[in-house]
Amino acid sequence: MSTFDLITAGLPTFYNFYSLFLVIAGSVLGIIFGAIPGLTATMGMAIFLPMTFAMSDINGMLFLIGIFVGACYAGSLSSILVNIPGTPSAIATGFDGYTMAQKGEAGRAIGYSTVASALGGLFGVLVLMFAAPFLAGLALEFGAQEYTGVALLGISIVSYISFGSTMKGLIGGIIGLLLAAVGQDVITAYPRFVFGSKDLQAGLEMIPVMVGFFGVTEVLTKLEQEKEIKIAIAKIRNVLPSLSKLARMSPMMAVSSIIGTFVGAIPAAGGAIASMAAYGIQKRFSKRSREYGTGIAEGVVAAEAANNAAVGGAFVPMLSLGIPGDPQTAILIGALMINGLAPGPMLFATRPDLISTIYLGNVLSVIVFAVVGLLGARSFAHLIRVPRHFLLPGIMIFCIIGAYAIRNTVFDIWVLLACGVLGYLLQKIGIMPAPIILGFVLGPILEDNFRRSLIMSGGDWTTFFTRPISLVLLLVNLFILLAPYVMGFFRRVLSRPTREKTS
Amino acid sequence: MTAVRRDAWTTFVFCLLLGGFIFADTLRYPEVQGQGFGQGPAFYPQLLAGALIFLGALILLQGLNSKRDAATGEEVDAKNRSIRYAPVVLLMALCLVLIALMKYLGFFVSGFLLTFLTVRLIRHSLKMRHLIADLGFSVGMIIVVYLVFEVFVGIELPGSIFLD
Repeated sequence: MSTFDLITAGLPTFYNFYSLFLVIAGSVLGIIFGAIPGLTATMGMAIFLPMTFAMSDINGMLFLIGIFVGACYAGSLSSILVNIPGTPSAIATGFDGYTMAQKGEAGRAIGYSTVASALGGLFGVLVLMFAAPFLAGLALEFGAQEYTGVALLGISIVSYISFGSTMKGLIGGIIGLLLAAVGQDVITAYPRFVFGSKDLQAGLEMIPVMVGFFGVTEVLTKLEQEKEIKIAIAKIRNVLPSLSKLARMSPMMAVSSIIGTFVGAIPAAGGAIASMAAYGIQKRFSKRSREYGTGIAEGVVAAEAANNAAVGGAFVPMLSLGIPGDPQTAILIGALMINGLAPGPMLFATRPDLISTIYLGNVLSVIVFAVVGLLGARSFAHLIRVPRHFLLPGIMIFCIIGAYAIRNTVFDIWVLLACGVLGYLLQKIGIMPAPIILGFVLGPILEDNFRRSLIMSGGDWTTFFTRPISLVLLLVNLFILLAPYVMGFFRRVLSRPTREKTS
Repeated sequence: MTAVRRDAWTTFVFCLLLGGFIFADTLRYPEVQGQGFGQGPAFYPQLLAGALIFLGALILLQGLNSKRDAATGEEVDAKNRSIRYAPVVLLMALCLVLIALMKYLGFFVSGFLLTFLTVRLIRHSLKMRHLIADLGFSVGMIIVVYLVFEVFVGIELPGSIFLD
């Protein structure tokens, strides 16, 4: 199937008003979740995942993609208006966005942020449309050894990049892998860690675990904080940006979009790193370098184009390899699995309509947030004021129903609470929920492929080193895990002569 | 003890306990003969448990050798004083009780109680208008849940055994 056919195969989905409505509803919900500080795209997707049970696989994906894309955009609203990023990917937006708001240009900052987000988002999807089928074609050559390497790569990159200490990230990943090992063994069907419970025989359900670690943990963390902070919101006027200025900024928007898409495609890097990297690079090479941080539109555009382009990038490893690049794509993979679909290269051959719907759903969500952002910025600004005494109990109730809904059993609510408390306690020692969830999603892929590789080789571990792609993947893994220590060593060695000279 | 060391010890003890528990549990799993290496159900969890203990030990070593973070236990305690654990414990206790009672009360009654009591727990206000607002919010929340999940999604939420 040609790339063009793959892009257009899902068009009939959008002739249906219900599907269109779900994209719009998802995007608006995403904007709400993104705009309220403390609520994230991940939490929104995890909480609303059970609602997709009543939908077809395509409609469910459209709804969740809407939330994902909408929330990634809306994080900038609170970042600009009150200097509290709604989502981690909007941190860099606040550097100039909030300063613009203080100068009375909040509306203009939102306008530039919206347009840059939309163009960055569209660029990311465009790259996705061409890169994902290409990568999926390569992945068809992969055997069990290569998939073992890819799954390990997912865990090691996640541990390295985004969640503090590499080793604690790895511990989180292993905890996720162990949680995934609960239930029947994939090879012998022997029940592991079930302690006589019939409910545990089939393993832990994905939704209670995800919602527990992302939703309940977050509620408990917010609950422990002292009283609510009263925030003053800047007034919004003149949202529409100047077209001539936008045209002048188009080259930098393109560069930021390229950086964002590339960084987004690296598992675990995500929008936060993408926007910081793009902001840093634009600041370094701009003629107005010194003005960054003082409230210029270029700063907002650099960050926002990148973090929204990263969304399209994140879909590349998810669709082509079946590997979640970040917690949001882990939830999307969970949604596909619930519908009996295995994301990966085969999906391009078996369900081109679904792949196309994912592309087009992304495009439509971008259009929705652009329209809503430009027309409704004033209304969404009020969301920032939602008091937490209403917000947290509401989230808790949705988490409980989400856990219950998957199998209609109260046992899953207990799993939810246990995961929430475990996530909360582990956070106290620096082990964050995201690597745990990525480990949990990657667990079955890793164990199945790892053990099948060993069966096929008769227990010969060199099987992972004798196949070229597998060897490269393992070397990349090794490099990622050792890089911080090697770099630290060289830094110490290089700084030694300087210190000796000064002493 | 510095904060880094305390953190490293906690992580190590956690990894050791979890890894040890996995080893202890998997020791009773059957051995699978004749299918090559690594085919028993214990193989994979034991590998992970070993990695967990190894990483825990590395973190401990790193923490014991660390000189960078000089924060003392007292400094961390002072910082932690701004954190309130009581609401966290109370919310979990509420959840435990109300979910255990869900079989008898049904989802709607226990869900309402959980919402209302959690709002009260966070708000800390005895004003009558706040009480009415909280009641209204809790009732509204349960109505929304009913409409969205039971009517729209079609999920049958747990009922009360007294009403069945």
